[in-house]
Amino acid sequence: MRTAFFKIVRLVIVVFIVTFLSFSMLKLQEAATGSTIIDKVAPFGSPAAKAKLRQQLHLNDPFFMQYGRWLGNAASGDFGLKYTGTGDNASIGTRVSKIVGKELPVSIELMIYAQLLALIIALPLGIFTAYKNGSIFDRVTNIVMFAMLAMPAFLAALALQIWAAKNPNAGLPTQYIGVADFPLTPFTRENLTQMLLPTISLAVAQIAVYMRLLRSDMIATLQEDFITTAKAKGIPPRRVLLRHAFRPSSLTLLTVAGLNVGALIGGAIIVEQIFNLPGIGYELVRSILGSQVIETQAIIAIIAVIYVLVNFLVDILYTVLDPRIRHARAIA
Amino acid sequence: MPEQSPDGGQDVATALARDEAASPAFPNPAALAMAAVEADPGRSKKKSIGFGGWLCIAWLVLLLVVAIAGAATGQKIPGFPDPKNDVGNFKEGLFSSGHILGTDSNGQDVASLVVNGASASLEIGFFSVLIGFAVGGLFGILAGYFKGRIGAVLGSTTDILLAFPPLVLAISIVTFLGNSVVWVTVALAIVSVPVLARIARAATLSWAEREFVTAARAQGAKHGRVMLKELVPNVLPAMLSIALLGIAVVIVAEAGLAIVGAGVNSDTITWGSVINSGRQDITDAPHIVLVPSIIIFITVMALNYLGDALRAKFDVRESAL
Repeated sequence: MRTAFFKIVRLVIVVFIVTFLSFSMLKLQEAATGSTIIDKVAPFGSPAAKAKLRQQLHLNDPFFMQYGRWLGNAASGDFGLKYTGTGDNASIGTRVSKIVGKELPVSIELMIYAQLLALIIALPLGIFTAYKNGSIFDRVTNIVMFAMLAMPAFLAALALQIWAAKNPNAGLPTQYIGVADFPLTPFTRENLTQMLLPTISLAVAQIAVYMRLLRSDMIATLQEDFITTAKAKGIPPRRVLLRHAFRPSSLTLLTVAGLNVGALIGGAIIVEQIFNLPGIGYELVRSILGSQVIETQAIIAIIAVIYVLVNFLVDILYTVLDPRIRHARAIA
Repeated sequence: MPEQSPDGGQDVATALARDEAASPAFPNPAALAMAAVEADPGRSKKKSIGFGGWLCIAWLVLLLVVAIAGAATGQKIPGFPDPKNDVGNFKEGLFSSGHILGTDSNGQDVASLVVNGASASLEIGFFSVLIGFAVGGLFGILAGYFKGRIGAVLGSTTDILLAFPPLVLAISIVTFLGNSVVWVTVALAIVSVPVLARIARAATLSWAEREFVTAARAQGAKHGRVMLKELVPNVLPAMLSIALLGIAVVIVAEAGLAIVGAGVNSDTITWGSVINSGRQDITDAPHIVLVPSIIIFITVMALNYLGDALRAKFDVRESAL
């Protein structure tokens, strides 16, 4: 109970610091480059609109008051605007929360698909190569995995894109084809066709990470006494492998899956960019290229907070799943 | 010669695991990288780096020579067409006359772009990891040695840095502060500091309780001396292999930044900038993106392989056998 409390306190502190850093970056930029926020978001605004914008963004307030207001608004779901107007209309725009609400699901969908694909391929391969440790199949798989580990997501994405362009018969789009109701309903045929190549690109390196990890973990477990005992009792190999050997390794996998979220977010941004997939990473890049600093700031803060929350959840899940940790903490 | 563990224990790995259990809320990408690369019990038994290892070293030496040449001549290595000003036919394919790797959409020689771009890409990779190595190593050793308040403060600082997904942190630094080679290097250095700090801290924790450290303390050695003479030589090998992996990660990250439009400005040629400029012609001239991508891929593989071999050489587990 006490550790849970401390964890939540810690989580809150980290969220404050992370949002504060995201917020101050914009101010830092103003100080470093000399161009104001207004110049960035509304370069073609009329003087009247700029004055209105100044007031709208409360730029005359002290720094900490601005942060407090920004954080309060963000907590209630208001992340400011992506400015689209010019001239007198420069203070008009689309709500960032609306854009993000539409695009975040696409990114999450992509990351979940990639994780699923990676696990579906890596688990059987990892278990089998650990079982047949040293066989030709094991060696070949290892070499392939070593190469896959070194393959950046962008190389996989670009190669798949080139392949899809050369083989139009496969019916896989090289770029995201806009449809009215994105994010598409998950697991429909159309959705899977659009998501297949981005998913594979993102999954390539993950497959290698999970497979190599599971293999080495299981090779270690298979040398334990309880495995010999299980075998001696005449339990069929399949059951020994899955029930006795794989189970303890699944916790390691869970930890690594949690650790992987950061890499996954980075990979998703790049893959979305290459396939023009309208996810949050794609929008982040759009906002940077369009100097929509308010939007950039909001998206960075949102991604960072989500990342912190995911790590928190993995931590909690880990404690729940592994009785040893629960026990050790209860004593400590 | 680094002190060898008598029990052949899994020093850094176990210490990292312990560290992880202590504060798993902030995961350690380095542990992940180690776990992933380490996962090859069959090969790590070898003492020598083998033919493959020498091949990797040869490749990296070649790159180093090219990079130094590129840096010395301001990305105009003689013998190659000037990558910016010599313009040939647009989008020539591979092995076309005069352009062995073809030309890009501006008619610039791809081979020359890649060779000249090596200097900036490797500069960014090397210097950002060097900064990360120095700062992270210092942080980590201090945090591991002084476990009390200093350790807590340094630990939380790295935790906060780890709370941003690495690429997102790098993107924000580059967009908000500037996109020169220096800023990109700084951004990627900041991203690599917490990773190396975590490794250094874990390694320090596992060595700081050893008899030889206690002995040095008992003989009246000052903290600074203990850290410098007893801990640093033992912590360095673990950090070095991670640093090799780190250079690979940073080279990839540079290309990633270029692809999302947060890369080095157009004054400097990097592998990432060549890839990004080729993306619009990916269907009719795929070689523009593929050549630099494959060079990056080979480089990453070489660095991974050597990092792996280096750990196998220094890892206590094998040396105790």
